[in-house]
Amino acid sequence: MKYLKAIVIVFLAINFASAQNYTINKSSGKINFAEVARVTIIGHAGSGVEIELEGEYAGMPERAEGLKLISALGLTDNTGIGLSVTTDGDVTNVRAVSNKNRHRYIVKVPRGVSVNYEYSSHDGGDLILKDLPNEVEASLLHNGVVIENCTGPMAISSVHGSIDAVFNDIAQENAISLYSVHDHVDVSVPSNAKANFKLNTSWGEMFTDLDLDYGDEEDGMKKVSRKKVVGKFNGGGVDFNITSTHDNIYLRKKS
Amino acid sequence: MENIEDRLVDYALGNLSKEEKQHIEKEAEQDSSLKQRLLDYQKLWYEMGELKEKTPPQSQTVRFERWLNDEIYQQAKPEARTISIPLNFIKYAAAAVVLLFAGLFIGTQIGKETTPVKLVDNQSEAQERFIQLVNNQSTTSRIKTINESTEQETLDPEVRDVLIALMKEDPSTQVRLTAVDALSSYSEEALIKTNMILALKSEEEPIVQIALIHALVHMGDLNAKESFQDIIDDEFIDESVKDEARLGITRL
Repeated sequence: MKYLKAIVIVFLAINFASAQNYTINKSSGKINFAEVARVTIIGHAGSGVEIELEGEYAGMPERAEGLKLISALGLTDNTGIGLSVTTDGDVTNVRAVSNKNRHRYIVKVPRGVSVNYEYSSHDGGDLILKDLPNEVEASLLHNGVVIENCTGPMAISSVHGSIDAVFNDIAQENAISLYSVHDHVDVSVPSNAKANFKLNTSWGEMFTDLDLDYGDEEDGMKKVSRKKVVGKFNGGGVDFNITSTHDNIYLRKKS
Repeated sequence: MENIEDRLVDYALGNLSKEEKQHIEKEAEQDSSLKQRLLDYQKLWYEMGELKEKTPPQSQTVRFERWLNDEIYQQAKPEARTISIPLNFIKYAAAAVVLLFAGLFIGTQIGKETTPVKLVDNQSEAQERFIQLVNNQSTTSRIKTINESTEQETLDPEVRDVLIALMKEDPSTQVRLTAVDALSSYSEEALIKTNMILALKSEEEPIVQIALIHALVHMGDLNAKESFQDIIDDEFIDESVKDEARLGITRL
């Protein structure tokens, strides 16, 4: 048993030591991620954008020692973790150079930096967004999005992936828009959240345990379309659009 | 009274007052030939605005010549005899030349990445405020502004024009998506349907293409079938979009 513990400790130490990272000196402006697979973006109180690779980067074979990794787009790995990072004014662009990496990138972003993420390949896993008060925009083709403890504003869309979001607070000035064509959108908001919800599905169903105020009653009749529902929660507040064209929408109180 | 063709050109160029625009739209709703000519002018104006080079591509020239020939042919038909052929030919040619140069100028001046919305000169105060809001650099604030614009029962024609411009031109996928959704609520407007078909031809993002197909099917626009077929035949378009186009054709 003693030996087993020692082996586990040594293994964890090796794994920890092999994690590689890259820091961008940036505390405002915008950061664009284009075609970078397996990404978790987390808000942090630091002053720069920190990108850490979970596990050892396997993009450079032994035979390539002393050479630089380049891509068909003419990009060069200038980070040592398979990414090309370039900055133009207050916009930083991060693009994948290596397609061999199978580990997740953990990106820590300061509060003042807005985030844009685009991904269109089949593999790549879900995009995970955590603890972000920043403005986030994401467009995915095949993958899903998991949102934890973000406030928005945000505009997220996926053609084939699901969107699962748990909000602890949504109080901010702008809009939240979550849009999936073929998969579900599941949203939890705190019971005291103030929002103007717009729910929209063409072939799915809508489920909620929120007491929404549909307003605009004419002659005692509520204006509720089968495909679109507009309702205020707690008197209204943040513009919150939820669309799932072919699948269901789940809107619930956060437990 | 000013010639109707002049007013159609002014309409396409955005030189009419709100009342004059509404008057033209009302007339067009009652006269299918007038409506078609109005749409042709707008289509030409839009396509000219899309030009990014100082010399038009071959396909554009061919399309222009085809359009010009079609117009001459239309005017030569018996029902168009009340308008003299040579005069209209000159007017069409003059209008086309003006539009061509204006389109080339705007095409080179306005970049998709830098200016989300094309502006016209005669903006009302409300439209100006709306345009200022939608020109906000923040994607989510533009989405919020679009949401607020659709809270009205009727769609202001000037707001409609800005929404159409956002649907076609905004650099953000999410904003174009929201604009499509907002415009799809006004299914009775032929101008919106035509512009959705035009947007579908130029749109490259699968999720916006799918949203446009859904909107056109929802609006029941049979003219969209041809565009759907073009999508099915295009080898570079994503399969999920083609599937929606196939479904769309069967539903229309």
